[in-house]
Amino acid sequence: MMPFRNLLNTIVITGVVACNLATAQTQPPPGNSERGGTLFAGKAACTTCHRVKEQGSRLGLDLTRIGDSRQPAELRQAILDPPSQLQPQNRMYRVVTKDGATITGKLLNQGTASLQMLDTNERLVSFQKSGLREHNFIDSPPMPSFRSTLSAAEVEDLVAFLSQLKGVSQ
Amino acid sequence: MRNFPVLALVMAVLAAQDATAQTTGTPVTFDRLLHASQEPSNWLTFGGNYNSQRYSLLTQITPANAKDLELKWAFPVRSLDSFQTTPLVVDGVLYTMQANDVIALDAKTGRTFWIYRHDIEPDAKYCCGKISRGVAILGETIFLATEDSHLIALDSKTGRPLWDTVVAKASAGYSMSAAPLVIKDKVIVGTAGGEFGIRGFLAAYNVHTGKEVWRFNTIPGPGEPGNETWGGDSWKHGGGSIWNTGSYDPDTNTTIWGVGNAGPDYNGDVRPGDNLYTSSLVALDADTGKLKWHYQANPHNEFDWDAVQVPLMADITWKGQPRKGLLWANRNGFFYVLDRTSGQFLLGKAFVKQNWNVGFDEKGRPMMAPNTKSSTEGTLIFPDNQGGTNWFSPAFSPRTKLFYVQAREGGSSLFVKGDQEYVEGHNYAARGTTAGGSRRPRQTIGADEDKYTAVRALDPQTGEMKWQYVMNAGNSLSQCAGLSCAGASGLLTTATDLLFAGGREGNFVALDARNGKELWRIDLGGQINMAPITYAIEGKQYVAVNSGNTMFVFGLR
Repeated sequence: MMPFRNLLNTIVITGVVACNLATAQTQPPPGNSERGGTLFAGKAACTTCHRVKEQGSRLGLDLTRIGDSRQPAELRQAILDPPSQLQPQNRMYRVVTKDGATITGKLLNQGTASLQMLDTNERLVSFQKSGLREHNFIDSPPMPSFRSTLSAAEVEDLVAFLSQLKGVSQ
Repeated sequence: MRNFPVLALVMAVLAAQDATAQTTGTPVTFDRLLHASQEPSNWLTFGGNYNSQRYSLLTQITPANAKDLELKWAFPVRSLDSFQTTPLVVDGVLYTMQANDVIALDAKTGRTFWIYRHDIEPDAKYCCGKISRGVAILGETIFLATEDSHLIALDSKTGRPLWDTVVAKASAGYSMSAAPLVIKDKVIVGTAGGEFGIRGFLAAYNVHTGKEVWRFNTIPGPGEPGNETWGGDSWKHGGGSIWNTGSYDPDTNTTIWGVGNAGPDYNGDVRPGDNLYTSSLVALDADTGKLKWHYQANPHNEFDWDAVQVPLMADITWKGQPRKGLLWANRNGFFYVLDRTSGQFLLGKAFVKQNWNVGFDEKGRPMMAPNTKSSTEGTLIFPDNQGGTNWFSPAFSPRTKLFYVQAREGGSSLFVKGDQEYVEGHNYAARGTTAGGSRRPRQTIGADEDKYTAVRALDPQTGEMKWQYVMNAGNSLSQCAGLSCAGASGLLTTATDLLFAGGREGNFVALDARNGKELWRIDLGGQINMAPITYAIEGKQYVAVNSGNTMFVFGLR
């Protein structure tokens, strides 16, 4: 088994990969990663939107290897001030059909005449643009700030957990 | 994270049918794979189901209305390599391949959901182009085997890689082109590379971690049964590649695969003995990889006859008694019927012209005709090195009780042996040169009209041909050199007695499976090198086939 090769070379899905590979982690974060893992799946309910190692929702950024591409300071910032770290391609997408149905989800692909999404039920759906009343990204950030809902220690625990996410055990 | 505001916007979706495609349903459990035949709107495994019959219960397209088939959509891939992929269809999503890339498409319209690109390692060695015969699925994970010997798990909803395991050393000639086979919690793959002096194997990997669970060496090493069939150290580079997908019998928990030829291909002097398990079928316990039985079609083969043709499982009547049969049309020109529970040889009968075999002993070992060893001056053998058939998947209909195979009739090769030392990563075929200077094994003799490809219907009880449909009469096989160029399609049959087939000239036809009568034909232009599939969405049946570098999908008007 070997680590993934360069994900930037292998994934071309719109909005799936957000990379910041320029900087390397130098010091381990001070929090407790085990407690952070409990928070991740429990109080903070991160799996409502995020996925780690085949568990959790696919709608948000997959965090299975987030520790490879984000420094603790960036993770901390993302938890406390999500809009500051939100990459444009990770915004949610919304379509409204001509008969009034609204579907939201992650935009996977689009062409001149059609677009394809992963909807909030994690179904792959495809639309003819001619059948839509409107379709666009949702500008409001999908993730709330945890500044008031998690203590400073809990934030550090969560940062410690996220920092050690570096893929499937080898 | 919590209070995700957008989740509150979930609406009753997909009301506007004309605006949306199908959606994915429940995960593909092992139980769904076991009963794949019972959900014919999907195509869940390489062979359509574990018995590899490529028989669909869909009934909308019939002999009466096949003339009304029309193109619904087409999808060109960005690859000029032979397009041999059998797609999967899972609840409205079609997974196909573009060389070693995986593409998820809306099966109703051909629109792309996602593409996973795999760049082949630059020092990888593979004999026959960037070919992938398909992917496998379990749960919400797609499994991809690549030409540089990576086994990769992908999220079926997004294409995101979950794990990536290096199966073997690509620079030494190990490659993978067969679709993986998932059984329970394991994904099984084998390695190609017989022309590079590999030592072949089948291996099972945990579907969640990618870690190897068991390995079966198709070339047994010292201490393993069968190693005594290799002289000296010849087992080290004995070939025995696996480049087509096997079948699985859940009743006995047995998976059966065909094994490639011995290496070096054309000179057996350096590997005295029967050279097990090359040119053989091997039946393995799916949980442990332990060998249950084997049948070797060509001991000590010197004619490049990989025996990787799909072993098709069918319950048949044999001499008045029900029998768990294994039906196998081999590259060596013979059609075999075995008992799949024991490997007992029941029948071996030539389905194309051959001159190497004069009969079988009671255990099914072939008796070689005189003067049929590879030689320095050249030995003329029928069929040619590309065989009486090849990777083309056969089909079987429980209704007609006929076995269908795409046959290559009339080919012959002048087999010339040469001397060659093994060098890692280099060709190790030991092919000699004819007096005319050619190193090409294929030989043209006889009239063109004696060489053709044809769909043939064989009776498993006798091996007799019931009918044939000639795909390309009058075209010499010698005009088309190389494995990819020699292509002919695999087959698909249905519960309405239809049989779909294609040819290297690009003709795609629907035949009456009962008598071979042509019901519908279209010229798609490019070579058809894979077996068509069928599936259904919203009650409408589709048939998909690759021609050239494009997948064409047909349905009724």
